[in-house]
Amino acid sequence: MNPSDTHDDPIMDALRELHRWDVSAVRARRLRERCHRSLAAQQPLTRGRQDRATTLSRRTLRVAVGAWCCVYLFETLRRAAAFYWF
Amino acid sequence: MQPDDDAALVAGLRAGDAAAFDRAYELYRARLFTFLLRLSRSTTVAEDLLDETWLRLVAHARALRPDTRLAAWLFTVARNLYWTHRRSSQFEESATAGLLTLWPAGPRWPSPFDLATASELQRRVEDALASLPPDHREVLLLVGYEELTPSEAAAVCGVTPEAMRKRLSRARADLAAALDRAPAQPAKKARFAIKRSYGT
Repeated sequence: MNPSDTHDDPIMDALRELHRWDVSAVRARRLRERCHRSLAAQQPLTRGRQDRATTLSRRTLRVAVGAWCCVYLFETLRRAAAFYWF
Repeated sequence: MQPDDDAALVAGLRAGDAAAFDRAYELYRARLFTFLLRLSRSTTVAEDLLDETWLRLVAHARALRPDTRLAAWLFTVARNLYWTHRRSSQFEESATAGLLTLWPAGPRWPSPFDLATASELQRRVEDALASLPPDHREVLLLVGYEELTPSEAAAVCGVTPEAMRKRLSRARADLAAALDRAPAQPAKKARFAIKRSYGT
């Protein structure tokens, strides 16, 4: 059966005719309000998390670059010393 | 729903816009609830899973990709929540098999009123659908009832389009066989069920 042919199928037509259900108005309103509260509460929290993540990644990058520079400098000096003085 | 409308809704949700959430909520609440109700066959479970689905949308709203198809996203979450619930409830049932008689509840859906008011054909289709295994039921609901595209339904179920095509074919054959088996219920029996239920 090809799913794109479902419109010519009496069984699928019967399925399409089925009733649609919904939760009670009270429950729907409560859930909406809960989601609104969650949406509102999330905004500064998410931004704070993002800022913290950005700061952490920048700090890590700085430390890594600094360490690499130190190693490079040390190795250059060591080779220079080995070449000229020893 | 048009992809442009979906894109606007997703953009609103990513921005934390409550009005965009309300539009999505009105568009998909009943669809999701009906899907979960027919999948779980329990009003309580469907209501709980519906709550969890919307709360997950809110929690992940800002992480949605701009090209997200909202219907597919929501149905995927709802479906995964249902299967998680099903697995855990099966574990609980096996662990507490000896205690099950302490719980008086059975499935609360459909009520006798629903049975009586639905047309004969609808009732037979509902019965036949309810008799199918959940993996077949979900495919029929997604493609046949919710009219998701086959690729969307495949993504929701986490299978390839080819596997979806085969599963749909088997599910459709099962539904046809179940419809042939389903006996016609006399209207008198349904009326008696209402009288007994409501004491009129």
